[in-house]
Amino acid sequence: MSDTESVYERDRVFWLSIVRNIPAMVFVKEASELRFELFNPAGEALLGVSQADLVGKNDYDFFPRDQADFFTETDRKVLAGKSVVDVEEPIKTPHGERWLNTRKVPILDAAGQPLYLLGISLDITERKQAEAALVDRNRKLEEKEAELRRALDQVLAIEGMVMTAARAAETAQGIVQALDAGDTARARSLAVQLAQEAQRTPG
Amino acid sequence: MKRATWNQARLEALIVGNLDAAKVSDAVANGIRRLNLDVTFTKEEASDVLDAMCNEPGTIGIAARFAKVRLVLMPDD
Repeated sequence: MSDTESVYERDRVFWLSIVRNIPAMVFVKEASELRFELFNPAGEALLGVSQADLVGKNDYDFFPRDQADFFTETDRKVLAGKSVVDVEEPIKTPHGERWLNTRKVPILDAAGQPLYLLGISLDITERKQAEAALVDRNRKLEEKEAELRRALDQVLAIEGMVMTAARAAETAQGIVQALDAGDTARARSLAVQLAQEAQRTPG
Repeated sequence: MKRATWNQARLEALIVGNLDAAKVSDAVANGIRRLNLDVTFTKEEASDVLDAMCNEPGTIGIAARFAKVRLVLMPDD
């Protein structure tokens, strides 16, 4: 092996070992037919497919048609736009549906033509589930609040009656106190007041 | 940040039920004094005043309970 080859091999091992140990799915597709060229172990674990089975194939070999269409369309847009794109996408895996946040990066040649598409995907399923749970929790809280407001409106609806009864009780207590004190004039006055209040509409 | 948009007059206006205005004013002023509140205070502090007034005997205590319900139903300023 020449010195140049040795340096190249050392660099290749170095970069591959990084890619292999990143705890996020990393994949590379060639730009023309979007066939997989590289797939790391985190991706293998996520999709339940080995790199050996994946290399040379495209999304249509692994995903339902509508999903493969979506991935391919996004990939084509990234390559055509020649800019990095972040997408959140659900995928079907052997472990059920998972949500991925995927950064898609076009890798261009010296002339600016797309050579590869690099993808780096983070599994954000737990975050998505937490967000959905929060939305659900907020909706339930809003329902509870509306229920509580209706109940409090009902409480306020009887305010007039309760206050009328409370005032009557106070007046009756005043009558008793006046009688105990021998003040019949005051007792009579309060009794008249009580009778008048009883005539009024509650509230 | 809670805004101090409440004062004694605004709190008194929450208490209804054909009560003697002077009696209501005294009760509210006592509640504010007991809690050492400034001239203006927050909705939460207004709620604390009404909570204290709920312990008053007779119609004032009952009216304070309804006023508390009314306060809870009011949107924040």
